[in-house]
Amino acid sequence: MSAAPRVLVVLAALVACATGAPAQRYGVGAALWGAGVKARSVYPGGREALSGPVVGFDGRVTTGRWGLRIGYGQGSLDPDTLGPDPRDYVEGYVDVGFRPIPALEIGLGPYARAYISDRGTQRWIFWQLRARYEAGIITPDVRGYAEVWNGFAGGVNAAEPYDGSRGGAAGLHWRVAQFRGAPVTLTIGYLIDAARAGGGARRETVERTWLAIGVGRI
Amino acid sequence: MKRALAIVAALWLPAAAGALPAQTGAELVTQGIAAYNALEYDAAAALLRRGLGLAGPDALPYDTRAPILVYLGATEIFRGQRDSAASAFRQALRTDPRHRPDPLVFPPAVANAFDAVRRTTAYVRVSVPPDTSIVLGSELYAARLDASALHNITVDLMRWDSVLVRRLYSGPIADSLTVRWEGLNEAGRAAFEGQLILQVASQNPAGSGRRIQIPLTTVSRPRDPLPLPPPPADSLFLREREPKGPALRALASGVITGLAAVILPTAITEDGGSASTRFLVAATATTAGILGYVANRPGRPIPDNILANQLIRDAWRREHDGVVAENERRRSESVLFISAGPATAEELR
Repeated sequence: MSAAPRVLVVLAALVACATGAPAQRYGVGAALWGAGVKARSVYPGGREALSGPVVGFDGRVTTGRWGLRIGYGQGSLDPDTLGPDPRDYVEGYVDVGFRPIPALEIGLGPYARAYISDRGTQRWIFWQLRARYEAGIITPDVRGYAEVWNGFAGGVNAAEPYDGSRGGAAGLHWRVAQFRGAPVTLTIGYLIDAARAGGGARRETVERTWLAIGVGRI
Repeated sequence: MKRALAIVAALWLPAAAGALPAQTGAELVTQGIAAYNALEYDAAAALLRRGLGLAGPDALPYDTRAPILVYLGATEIFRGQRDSAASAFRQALRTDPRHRPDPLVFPPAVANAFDAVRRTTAYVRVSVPPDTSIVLGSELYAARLDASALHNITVDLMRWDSVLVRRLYSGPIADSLTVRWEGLNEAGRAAFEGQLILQVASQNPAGSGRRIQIPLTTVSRPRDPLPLPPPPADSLFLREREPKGPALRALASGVITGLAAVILPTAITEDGGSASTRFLVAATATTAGILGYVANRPGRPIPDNILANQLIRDAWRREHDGVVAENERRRSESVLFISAGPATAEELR
């Protein structure tokens, strides 16, 4: 099964859970997103930039103050500069979050990213500690959020040792409708993640601007 | 022998009373009834008379005397003293006109003698509340009359100078009767205030009669107004206009989200950002913040809260107006306070 059907199957399962879950005990949400991704690499001896469309999904299960989020995205990046080959882009994450207050969520989990080309696959993996804050803008339908994280541990299959990473995101959720009792949400967001290896000799920056539609609490 | 002993005992008892601890009326009556049941009628008569004759703190309560007097009358019947028996029965009926001998205790001879006396009596007991009040025009002052036998009565309200104020009833009474007075004066238009006498005059078939008088003191006052309901507490009302807080929070949230999208690349990496689409996100968030500010702009009326507050005010206004109307009605009404004094009875020949 290729990537797109896999995404659709997983998303359908999550939507089914989101609309059928008892509201009081736990909440389920799922979203399908499409994004424009820009990836820039600086490495010893050169730099390159690529961009392209990526699609993916996010899923979330919450119970009380705790939540589990998973996500997956896949696409193809084409070079914006002379030199690099086109490559496939794959990312995924799992994150366990806790809300000390309703607006703030602290999360922890692994995040993985891979560039696949004819010359091989470059894999990055990060253990990220994340903080996310949400606030109502047009209550209760429009909420804004900002998020920062730090990859306090990780690795890359390159010659340079992993130094660290950090990133952030900001965006809006807009509840546009109800689907079988669950809110249908449009999301627009921007994300940037910067990783370093070899004392800064290798730097990997990924920016993603995406639009998502979700059901349930995302 | 037994009769002689009883006579001796009856004669001896008064003499011995001084040497014995004082006996109450109730104790003497109990002994008298025991003597009656033992067929010792002379002793019973003596004991019952002593019990009934006691005065002061040891005396029998007035309303308990009727059955004892029937015992005394029955005793006298069995002693052959018909006149004394009739006298005792009359006293019993005077005390409680509705009292009758218990057929399980007394033989038919006693009941027949009692009835014979009752048919020739014309006793009425008048019961009125000691202190009461009536709303003029809507309530009545009631006096209950209990009669010993069928006879004619006249119930009058009189001034102290014997001027008739109102005849409440004139006619026969068989068992009981309730007479009512609306509290008005002779003209029937205003409240009667001052001293009154409620007089019940009975006339028995033999031509003699009895008159009972109860003094009444009446005072008229306007009805007390009801207190007005207090206005609803401020804590019950919801805010009718948007405060500044939500509007500013919405604007700040939108602007901060937009700023975050713009400055994140600079804050995260020294290479900066190259995705101009982040400005689209920033513009969208800022626009949402502005819309949020407008939607919650300070001073904007909140229709739901205004409606809820109006319902509270309307409910209070209805209650207030109801009390005002009731007080207006009360101002035109008077309450007559009536105090009754002790009844006095007078035999008419």
